[in-house]
Amino acid sequence: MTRRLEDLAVWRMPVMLAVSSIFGLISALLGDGFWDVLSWVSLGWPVAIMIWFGVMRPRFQTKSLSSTRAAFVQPPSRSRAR
Amino acid sequence: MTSRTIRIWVGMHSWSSLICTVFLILLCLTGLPLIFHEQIDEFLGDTPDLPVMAAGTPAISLDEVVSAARARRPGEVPLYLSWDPDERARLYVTMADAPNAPASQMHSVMLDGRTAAVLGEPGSKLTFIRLMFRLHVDLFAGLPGKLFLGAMGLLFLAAIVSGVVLYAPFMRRLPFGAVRQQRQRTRWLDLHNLLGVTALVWMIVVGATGVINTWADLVIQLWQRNELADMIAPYRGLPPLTQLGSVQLAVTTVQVAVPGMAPRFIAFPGTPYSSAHHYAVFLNGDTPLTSRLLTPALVDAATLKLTAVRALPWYAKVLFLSEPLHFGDYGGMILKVIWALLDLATLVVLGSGVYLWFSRRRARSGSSSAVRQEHAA
Repeated sequence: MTRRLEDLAVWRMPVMLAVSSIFGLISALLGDGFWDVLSWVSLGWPVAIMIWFGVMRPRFQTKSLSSTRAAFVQPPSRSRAR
Repeated sequence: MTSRTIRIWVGMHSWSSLICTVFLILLCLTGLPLIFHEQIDEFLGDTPDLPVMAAGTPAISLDEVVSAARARRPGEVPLYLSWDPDERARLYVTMADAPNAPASQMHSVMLDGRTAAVLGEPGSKLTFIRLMFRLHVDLFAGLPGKLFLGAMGLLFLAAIVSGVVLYAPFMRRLPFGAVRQQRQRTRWLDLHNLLGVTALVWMIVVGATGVINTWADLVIQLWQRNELADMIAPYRGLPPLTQLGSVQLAVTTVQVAVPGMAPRFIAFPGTPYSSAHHYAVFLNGDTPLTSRLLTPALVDAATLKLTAVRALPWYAKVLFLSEPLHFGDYGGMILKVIWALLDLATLVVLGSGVYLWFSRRRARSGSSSAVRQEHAA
């Protein structure tokens, strides 16, 4: 039972991203002004997610790893998967 | 999902993407500047300036506009007249030797709709944007080129679907957004999966609408055979036109009959979008949705009476709605920027996919547990 729930949890973010993207793509077709803004937000936050997790956070991770390495003799543990 | 099932889907994913990736990369690279084609054309000076005039300056008679185009290209006849979708005062008249001339022998004249002054002949030289456009749409190969790229698009969609099937088994134990930095290969795999699943809907929509756009010529032929033939049935077999009536009067007739819509495109008699005896005036509405759906109205070119008005059939509506969803030009500059960022993300997905395939081949020649390692991670 818990294995099923665990499987479904993988899809939580992807489904939210998908629903938001679909809405964002359609919204600007329905009207101007307010509808355009809805579209920018609905499509924009997935783009922000990609930039944050794909580019910015890895850069912070490697930056902090290299600065702590300079301060300590032993390299920090490599089990930080997050 | 068994190990064997996973291997089958990985095989499907690898092969469908390998065949289409080079072309998809080209499509993404050429598509990127196309998103901003108006801005780039203006920046490079490829768009003639429109003289600044008072806001309410009335449009001049379309007959004057057509005369000016005829004077610019003596000996040729008008085939089409269209309005620039973003600038109502900019008109284009397509001229050629005969109404049934092929596209390569057509010449477009750009005119000012308020004065009938000729602004230039776009398309007479190969601008940067035109080069990008031809590479993107048909690789300079016409209909076979379009259909080939359409087939690549279908493979792209197959690659996406198989990628989605593989997402859960590969991502089960990884928190969302994690991009492990320890090894090059896992870093690019995580990035490939993250960007792939986030841009998923956009890639499917832009990919599918791209494929539909490659079928435009076929859709138009279907429309001509069914709807248009139906609308002009009473005129079949009649002797050809001797005198072409006023196109301005034809448009006015239509606007009176169909209020609330504006003309976007006129096909002259003898062209494929009309009959031998009619002006075909295509109208659109003013909302973002209705501005893409053209309603054809046929006007008898001799008597200038309205023959028929009919809404588009469903398959033509699908084609026309595929345009904004593919170009991303319906939500202002911010939507264009978002479109460009998603295009770049797709390029990273494609490029990382190629890298992953090569590095798996190298790993496989060393250790066969590479797949099982990633799967279990």
